[in-house]
Amino acid sequence: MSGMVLEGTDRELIEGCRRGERDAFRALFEAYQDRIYSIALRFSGDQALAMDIAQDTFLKLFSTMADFRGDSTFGTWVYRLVVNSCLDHKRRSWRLIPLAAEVAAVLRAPGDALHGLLHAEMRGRVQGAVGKLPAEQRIVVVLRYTEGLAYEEIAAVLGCSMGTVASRLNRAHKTLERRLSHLKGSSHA
Amino acid sequence: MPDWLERELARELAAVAAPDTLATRLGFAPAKRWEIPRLALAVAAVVVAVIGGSYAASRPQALDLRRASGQGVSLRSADVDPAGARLLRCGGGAGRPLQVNAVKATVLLAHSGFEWTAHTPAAAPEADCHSCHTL
Repeated sequence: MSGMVLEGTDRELIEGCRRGERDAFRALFEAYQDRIYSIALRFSGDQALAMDIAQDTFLKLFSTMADFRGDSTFGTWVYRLVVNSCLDHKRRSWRLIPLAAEVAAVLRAPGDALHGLLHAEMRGRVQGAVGKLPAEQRIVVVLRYTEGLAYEEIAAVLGCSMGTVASRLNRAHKTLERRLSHLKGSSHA
Repeated sequence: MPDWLERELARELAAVAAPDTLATRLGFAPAKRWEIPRLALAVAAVVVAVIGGSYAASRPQALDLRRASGQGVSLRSADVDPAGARLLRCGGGAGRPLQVNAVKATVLLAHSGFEWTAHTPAAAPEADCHSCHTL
């Protein structure tokens, strides 16, 4: 799987975690935290909810380490855990929160505030449009654009065929194109 | 899919770094405590001490005349006329109730004890008080 930095040492880390070695847990956490949090954030659209999802994913990862039998790559197994955590979390009232968080981030950040605000607005619209997609389409979009996974890799994570992945992605693209058509001329910003 | 949508999705859904608080939540990093600078604490302590000290110095400490003199100071109508009693306040030292005559009394109310020894009336309290006060 692309981007997996632990391929060579996965086995050692897994064995270390199974022995309860704290350093192994820490190394695993540091290697996967950004990936897991990013998927959770882009799927949920809310930072607080993403933290909850990421935390749940790591707790599942650490507690079910013994269940990993190597039928798939370790990275695929981790992706499955975070996808399941995302789907398990019910959507809450997060629609307005991302934009507020972005605005707050812009206000804190130095530089061109107007440009930052426009960027935050655009990001909020894209995130909002993605957030309205059905969960099975949304998770495909997130795995594709946040993690850059190939169709085959997404199919392995979701346990479905590549055709299903392509179909879901195609439907998501059509929906997003319709909902985000007003951004057509401003995508260079 | 149009290129602009591909670009927008790739940009707006890009991966981000996990916040440090995630490590804290999972016990891999200690929680950051909100620390007050020691200098600020020291300055605040000095300010409080100065304000408190000046307030205490400016506020006379009342003395219980009954304890200071060993005598009761209750004014009964049979001995004196309470309506005619005058109260004098002394800036430092002890004092005693003085009976000037049978019906008129002046009570020297003493406070602030740091000049106690220099101001303590001994054998002749009236004389000592007269040295500072006109009764």
